[in-house]
Amino acid sequence: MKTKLLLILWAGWLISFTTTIHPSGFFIPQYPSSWPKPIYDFENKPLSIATVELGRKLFYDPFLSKDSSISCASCHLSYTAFTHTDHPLSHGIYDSVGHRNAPSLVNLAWSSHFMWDGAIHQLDLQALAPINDPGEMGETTAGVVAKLQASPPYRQLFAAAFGKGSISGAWMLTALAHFQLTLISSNAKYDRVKAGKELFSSQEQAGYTLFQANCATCHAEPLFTNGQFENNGIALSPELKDLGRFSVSQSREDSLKFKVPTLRNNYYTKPYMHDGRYKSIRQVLQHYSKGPMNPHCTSLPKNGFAFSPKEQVDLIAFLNTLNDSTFLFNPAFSFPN
Amino acid sequence: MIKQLGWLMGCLFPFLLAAQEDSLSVEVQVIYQQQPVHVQEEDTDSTPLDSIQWNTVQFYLYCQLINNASPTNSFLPANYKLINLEEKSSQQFKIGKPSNANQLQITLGIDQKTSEQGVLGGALDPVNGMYWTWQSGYINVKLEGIHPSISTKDKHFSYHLGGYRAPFLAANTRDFSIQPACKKVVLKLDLTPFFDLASQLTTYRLMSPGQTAVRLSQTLAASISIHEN
Repeated sequence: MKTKLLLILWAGWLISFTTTIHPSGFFIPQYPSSWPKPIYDFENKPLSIATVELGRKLFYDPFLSKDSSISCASCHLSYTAFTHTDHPLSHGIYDSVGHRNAPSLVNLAWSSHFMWDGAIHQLDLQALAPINDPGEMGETTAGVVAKLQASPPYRQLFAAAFGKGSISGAWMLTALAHFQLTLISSNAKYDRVKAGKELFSSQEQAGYTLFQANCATCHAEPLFTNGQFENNGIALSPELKDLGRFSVSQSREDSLKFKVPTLRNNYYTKPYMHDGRYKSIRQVLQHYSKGPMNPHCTSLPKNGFAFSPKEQVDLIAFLNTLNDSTFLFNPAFSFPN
Repeated sequence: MIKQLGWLMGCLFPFLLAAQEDSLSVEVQVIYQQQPVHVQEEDTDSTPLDSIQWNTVQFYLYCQLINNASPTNSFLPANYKLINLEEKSSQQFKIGKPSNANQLQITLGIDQKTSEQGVLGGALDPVNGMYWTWQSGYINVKLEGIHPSISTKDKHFSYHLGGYRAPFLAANTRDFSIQPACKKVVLKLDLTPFFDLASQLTTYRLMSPGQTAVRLSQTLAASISIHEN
């Protein structure tokens, strides 16, 4: 017994030299066991309570913008599934308007690319874009870090999260990513049906059958996105002239391709498409019922899906089962007290 | 007490000596038309119209000593150096020297694997302004200033060279033979061929990856020379 105890103590002593044991404890967010493995490397880059709480405070703090008027939450409101309901394009400092619709921040650990064109390949680098965009937060990374370094409360929070040392851009970005990685939505009616706890109504079931036959290739279950870039047939906006993925890859095949958004919480994430051109799901379905409006579309049949009015209603009934109010009103995600 | 300190120093001396011998000092110099490049704050009023003004000269270097019989392509993020001509101290550094080293391998820019990682600290921290914000990827080389021969109205040039995705990989590696006894090298980066090519292409603003960035990056890497001291 004594030998065993000594062996355990010895092993613990060895581990203490090879592993960083964080005082506040690391954790991996919970998600349904039926879901695929997250793309984010939680095992090697686990979250801690302190980094998540710090990220949450940063997320809600307009201090990150040049004139302290805009926070991440300004365009990504928790009560609307972390997007900006009713605003086609994102807003920025000095009442500026961006050029894309603010996407919903949900289940980000399963994403390999971020932004509508996938220009960002890691979540912990994503916040650089809005912080430095003159039409969004209008700051510089160095400017934000300098403000944080000058703030005694933030110095304390960073020390608790990352230990001793000067606040760095890497720490700030990591904390913001850690909070966003906890934004997991997996308690919609759809999830409860899949878990055998509830049943679809006959209308929802009819919509689900239609969905599986026509929509699920791009909006793949259970995340309701395949994480890929698709040209869904919408016309090029003459004002925005946004070519999507092409601007990153410079490959003609990628012209007008945009990242497939998740349909989870779709009721709250209107308006739809990368430029918010459709105000309602009905308009979206009407688009898909017709043929593509640009010649490069490969993900829509030539004459569209030709959904009848009844089928459109059935589809909407199913899509409503993807709304997760517990996610929207989770106190762990709302403004920190 | 003094006796003990002396004994300790005696024990440590061989190690301290070995540590000193196992490194190579690198001094970075940047030249343009055979003259050293100095950066200054933008000043369009006092600069003569016939001379170039450099406002920003920053680039990433990865230097490692290897043996040509067992070349390596490993990159440790912590060993990247950010050279900033505004900071004299960034132009001098030391690198580890294995006993059998006979080649100095120099990479101008950030390798693909490092670029694909998440956020990194130190020289690679985005706070240094060498990471694109609208897309992922490091700016390997940032050159900004004013050149009298530029045909545009404001005479400004601005090159942010980078790209880590095929086919627009912009980091380039070069190998230089060095003598085993070498203790110090001067690494010279000549900006003349780069600017000649840029002028030929009439490219004075380049802020994104692509074929032109690849070509200009290759020209810059080819303009590195090593001088043993």
